[in-house]
Amino acid sequence: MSDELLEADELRTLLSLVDAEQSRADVLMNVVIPIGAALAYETEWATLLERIVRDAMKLCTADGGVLYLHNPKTAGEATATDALIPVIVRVDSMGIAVGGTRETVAALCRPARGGSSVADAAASGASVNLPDAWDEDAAVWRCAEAERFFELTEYRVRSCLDVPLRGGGGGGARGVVIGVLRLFNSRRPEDHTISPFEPGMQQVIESLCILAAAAVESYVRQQRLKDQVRELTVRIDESRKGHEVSLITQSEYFKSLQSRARALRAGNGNANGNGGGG
Amino acid sequence: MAKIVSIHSFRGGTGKSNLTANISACAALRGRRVGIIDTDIQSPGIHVLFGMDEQHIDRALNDYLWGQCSIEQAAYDVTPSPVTDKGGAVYLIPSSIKSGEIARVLREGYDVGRLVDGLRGLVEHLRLDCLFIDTHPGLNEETLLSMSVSDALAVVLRPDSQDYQGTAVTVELARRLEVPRMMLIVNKVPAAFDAGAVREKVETAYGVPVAGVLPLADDMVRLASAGVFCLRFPDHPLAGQIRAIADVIVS
Repeated sequence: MSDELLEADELRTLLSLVDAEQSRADVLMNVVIPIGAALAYETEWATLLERIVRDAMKLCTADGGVLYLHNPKTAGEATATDALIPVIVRVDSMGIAVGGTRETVAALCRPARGGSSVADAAASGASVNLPDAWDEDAAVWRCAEAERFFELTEYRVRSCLDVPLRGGGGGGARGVVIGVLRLFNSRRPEDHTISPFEPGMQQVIESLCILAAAAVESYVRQQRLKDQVRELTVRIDESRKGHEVSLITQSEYFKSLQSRARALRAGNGNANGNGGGG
Repeated sequence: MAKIVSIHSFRGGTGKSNLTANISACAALRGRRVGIIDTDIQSPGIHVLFGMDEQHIDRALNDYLWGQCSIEQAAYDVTPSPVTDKGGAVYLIPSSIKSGEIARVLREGYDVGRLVDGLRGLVEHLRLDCLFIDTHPGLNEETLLSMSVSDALAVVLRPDSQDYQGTAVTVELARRLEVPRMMLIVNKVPAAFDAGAVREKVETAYGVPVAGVLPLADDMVRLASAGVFCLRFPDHPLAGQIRAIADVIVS
């Protein structure tokens, strides 16, 4: 191959990389960021969680998705030792949509266990992308939480992407992991065959997860403040109040004001004519 | 018959003067003739919201209190154009911003009885439907007097412990003075707070209706003293809330 042809190939490769980057930037600007903004304004907890899964699945044409959270009630305060609990499960081809506003997910999916790809993603803070989740050597599915799902159905997870949701609090510059979004069985739009999650798409989903984590944390913070105000007691020190009131009401000035106010309201217009001295 | 409404707070910084200006403007937008008297003689400020040039305040409430002019001579027509269009009017009786005048009040006090005469004179001469008194924060002779002559008292408070305690004392004194109508306005409530819960807690604690729970609004803060918020941003949700409070107060 001549040098000229080689250069032309390199140029084409570079141009295609530029195109790919541009296309990813377009997706970020026109799709991911609007989704993130919508999530930030979501006021219902269950709907917020469902939208994270649904929108991510739609972006990468995944057939299924599971959202795991550390302690779902206090997502913003999670620690790495908390179990990752599945809170939303969706599998479009089987018509499964549980968790959130619907029934519990416990019958379909287990909490993440050590050694699984969800646990790896949570521990490392980095995505785990499995082109084929079936490990032939070990004869196991590496997305082990799905075992119960396999037991109950004929469904099989092949391509699988686990992306950590990193919050802003603690955990250094990368933030503490508050949950993991699992997407599985990405389907080619043209023929619906299952395919691996492309690296470019993984980056898009990672961007979405940054925004989703921010929305979850913001919701939890707001909810905590609202809880505080629900518990807020208007504390009034009655003995101090009584003392302060009596200091004023026992004064001659106040007594004269009282009688003049009473006369004024009884309709005696002259009652105010001789105000108390200043 | 005209209503006299005192707008009071136990501590400074509650946004009382700003609310007084906005509530008055909203009442005037309903076609009413409204007066505002700034009895916060020690720290006057409401005139700024109506764009009054301090250099052109020849006569103020202080002059009336020293017997140097009649009360109507200290009243300025500050009717904003949207209010004129609705057939309303706004008159303002400012306090003097001259430091010598303020010092004199602090040093010598004044005849609060003359203040009462002034209130009545204003209502009569300016044919007011409603007179709002912007009081000095805290409890002193002048604020108690304002309460005693008022048909309604609105106490502005923030959701914090010091305001809660001081408001409890104010409410009790107003009850002893048999103020016919009393209401609370909870202002500067952080956005994350549940307004409904705040209203319920405050009403239960004081046994007094809450006329409004207003958020700490960035837009209001930005405008600060540069104008009357409800007139500048009539479509803002906060303006709607203040209009509702004004309707409750003057109803």
